[in-house]
Amino acid sequence: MASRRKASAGPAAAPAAVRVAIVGGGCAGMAAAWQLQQLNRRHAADPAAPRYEIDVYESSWRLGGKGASVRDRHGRIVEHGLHVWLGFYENAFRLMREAYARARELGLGPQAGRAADRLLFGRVEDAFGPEPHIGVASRRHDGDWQVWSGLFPPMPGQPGEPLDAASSPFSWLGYGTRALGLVRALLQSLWTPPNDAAAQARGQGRGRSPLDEAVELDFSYDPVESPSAAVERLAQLGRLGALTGVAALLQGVTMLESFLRESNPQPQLAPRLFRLAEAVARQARRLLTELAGIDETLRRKTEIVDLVLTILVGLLRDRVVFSRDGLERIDHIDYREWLEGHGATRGALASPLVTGIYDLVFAYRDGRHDRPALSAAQAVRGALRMFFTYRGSMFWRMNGGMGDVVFAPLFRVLAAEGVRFHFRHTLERIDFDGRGQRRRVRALRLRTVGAPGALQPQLRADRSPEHWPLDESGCWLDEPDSPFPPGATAGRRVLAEGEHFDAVVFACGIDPFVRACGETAPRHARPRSAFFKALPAWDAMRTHVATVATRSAQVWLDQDLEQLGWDRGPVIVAGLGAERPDTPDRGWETWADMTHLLATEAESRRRRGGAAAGRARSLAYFCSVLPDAEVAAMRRAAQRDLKAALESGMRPYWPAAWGPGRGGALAHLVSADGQASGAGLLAQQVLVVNHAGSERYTQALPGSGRARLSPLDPTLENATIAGDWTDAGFNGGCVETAVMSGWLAAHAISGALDLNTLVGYHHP
Amino acid sequence: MSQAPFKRPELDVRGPDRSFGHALRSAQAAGSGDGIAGVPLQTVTDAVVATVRLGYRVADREIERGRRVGQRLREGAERAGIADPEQWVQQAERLFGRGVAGGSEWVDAFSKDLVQLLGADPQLLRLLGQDGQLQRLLRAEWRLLARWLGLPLPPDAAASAAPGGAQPAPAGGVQIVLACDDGADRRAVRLLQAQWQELPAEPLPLWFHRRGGSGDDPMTGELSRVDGGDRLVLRTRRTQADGCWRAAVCTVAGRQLGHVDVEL
Repeated sequence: MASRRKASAGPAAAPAAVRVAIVGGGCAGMAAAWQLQQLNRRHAADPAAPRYEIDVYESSWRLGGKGASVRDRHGRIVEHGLHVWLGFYENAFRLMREAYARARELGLGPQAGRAADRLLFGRVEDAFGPEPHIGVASRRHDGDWQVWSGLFPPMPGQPGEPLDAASSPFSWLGYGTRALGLVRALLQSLWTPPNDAAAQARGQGRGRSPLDEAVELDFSYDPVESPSAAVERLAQLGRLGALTGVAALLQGVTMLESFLRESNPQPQLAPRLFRLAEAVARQARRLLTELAGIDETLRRKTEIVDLVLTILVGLLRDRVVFSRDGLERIDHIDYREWLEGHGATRGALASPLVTGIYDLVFAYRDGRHDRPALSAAQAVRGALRMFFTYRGSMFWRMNGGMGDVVFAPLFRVLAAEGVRFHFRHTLERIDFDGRGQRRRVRALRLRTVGAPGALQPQLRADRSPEHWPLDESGCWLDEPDSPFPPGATAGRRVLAEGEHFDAVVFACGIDPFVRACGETAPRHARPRSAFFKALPAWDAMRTHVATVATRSAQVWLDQDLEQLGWDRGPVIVAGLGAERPDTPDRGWETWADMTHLLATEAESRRRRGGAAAGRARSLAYFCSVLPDAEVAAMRRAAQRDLKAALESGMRPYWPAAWGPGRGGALAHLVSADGQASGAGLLAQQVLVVNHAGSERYTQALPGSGRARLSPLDPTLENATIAGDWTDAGFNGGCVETAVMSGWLAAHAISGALDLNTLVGYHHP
Repeated sequence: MSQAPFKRPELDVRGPDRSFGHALRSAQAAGSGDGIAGVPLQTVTDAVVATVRLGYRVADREIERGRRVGQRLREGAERAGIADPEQWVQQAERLFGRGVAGGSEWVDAFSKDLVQLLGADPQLLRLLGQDGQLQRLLRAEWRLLARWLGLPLPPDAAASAAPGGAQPAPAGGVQIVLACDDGADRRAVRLLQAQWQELPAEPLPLWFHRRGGSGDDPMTGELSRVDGGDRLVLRTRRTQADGCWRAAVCTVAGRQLGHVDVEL
């Protein structure tokens, strides 16, 4: 049911067009602008519908916030970090589908005649590509490195396409049956050969069956390929009765799965469901421990089974399933502690699978690897969504920089439709008015580039090419090529309510917002500004919703992956350095192969007058958290770790680079212009330290979920908040949260959107 | 004319509905096939009916799975290129024989767990408890699996599968002792079936006759209770033919208590 507007003093009494100032041009701000602009499109068809005049104020010279990217003078993509979209980002993908569709309607795209109308891609299908291959790194008992990677099978549909009630996977039953289906598939793969479909797929997909696509380690047996291994495997499993155990366990899981599939449990059946699940889990753990004892290579699969069953038992035991608070009931506890409390084995807790989840969301307090902290609520919600609700592929890569793929089309379409963009406008202070638990925003004080007091032109009027701020192919220009080079004169600008805006969406990061509300530092124990002193809920959010600094590196190499010694194809691997969990800084956590971007970079270089062919054969991205320190020290630490990774750290993954006469990865670096390679080019690789403002990553620490405020919170009478630091239903530091939050902010201002169309918002 | 300052509309919803019921709504509307179908269970009877239904489905799936495994095992020798396929299949059958026996034990253990855990509800207890419908269903499933694979049934399964097999298997198992004057007379003996009512205190003499061999001398033996267990003493000879030998278990007065089948 859509939310209804009750107030007689609502938009009906407002001006014909509500002037909305959106502070922040990242995902949340763009999503808010897009939804309000959608209402304007409705207004065109129905003059009685509300209308909005939208101004976007962005502190940078380009849009995107922590998702911004540019092309440097050599055409290389320079990102803030590694950006990968997950297959459950329904709202974010829908936004992009709408944006690309609208761009085509407006004649914007790669083939546009005017440079000012060009975009790198014309369709969302070209802009994003599926990436089903992810992995985690771990060290085995014998000391050797092992990368355990999985090819997750494609699921029906594409993210962002319309969901009807029949295809929506967002239900407990959906999760339960899919989870147990996964467990059953894993168990089955322990003792049965691949089925016929699997055998058929063997010829198509890199020598793995669909069962094996769930986990790459090949546990299946195929007598045709390896008769002796098949006999040995059967004998091994048969020994000690393990085969029987797995068969029986499979039966138990099948029963439970079928029960969930066929039933629609009422709360009074909860204890029985829980007991059933616990009985299965207890049997499973005993048998799986025995199995893992027989064969170490089975460990990873047994860890998955253990984790899935532990989560199932935990959800039932903690009454999460039947609580009005849903998963927020376990928000206060750390994910690992929660799993341990519900009986997960020590092996599963230390598993690189769990570490990989912490790495994926930078879940380290103060950026220290020896202080892992992740809300159990968000971890389980994220895992449920990630594994069991994705459509198409589990991961999606962008075929360009995030700025090119995401923010360029949004910018071009919105600008063409009349949205005004003001770059280099940094929020410094918010003037509030009001009493009790209500506040009005009276003025925004911004730092700009230009003479003090002068109004900054929304777009550069002189000396800019027509395509500014994008290049002639629709990619964002780098800072030195913008009209706001570093060191430009600072000015001030004051925006007043009634004169410049009627409503405000604060879509900047939480740290800039808190500072603009008068706090000198975001997380002092005691509030110093009147705003936070008077509003305890806002103060709780300020205190508990934390951000963390991150680092990112992009490295171009003159060897392809196979020449480096990695023969499993493109991949994203988390858990690097996880064998040192007690070290405050274990270096890079994640490596992603991004070689697919070399083609677009070469094309961009050619347009800039460089050579079309370069020496780069592969492109590696690294990222991780970074402990807070002085900026210079953080930069030194990142440089040191990048050198260490290329000197020796990546050797387990790229062993051939350290082959006879090869000199390691450092000897294979490629220069910025792509024309030279060899040692001594480390400084020409891209290294970014995200230490301040909205560049910092928003964490999901234990207890932070409940402290978040929704964009629908009514405290600010003429304003709202948006960003991945708000309560948007799904509360992670990610694109999807930001887009959902921006959508909610537009609803908070307009009251005209249907909450049921925000996918996954009403979610336990 | 000046307008009133803008004020956000008041909204009914200020945060996500995280309750379970909301998540279930789409499930109820789901379609068929592998979708998230939902049959609301309003009463315990509904739950029982649904559970029995799923029990049959589980049985079907397991039997089908067992059939496939058996087929693959039998084909395995050819595909694996092993010189002696018969030996390979025999090994595999022994492996699965143990598997089936272990499976029955697991069903027992699992059912006991459930009985202990779900003891509160009499209806569910009837379904899931000791010798309840579901347990019998699972036992039958294991027996079907074993038969399909052509395997000898494990003793307890064989006992419960016997026609009119109301007799409980002897508690504590049967200890077999070979009593031969000459070591060369000792033969390998396998107990095929053994069922009888409670034994009297005194030892019972047994005469085994070979099935299908009317002219052979009977093999003698003795059945007694020793330390709470049943003890079967057999006097084998090297001249006795291979095959299945059966004896009636009778009191001294001639009342039959049961029978014993052994294989030489």
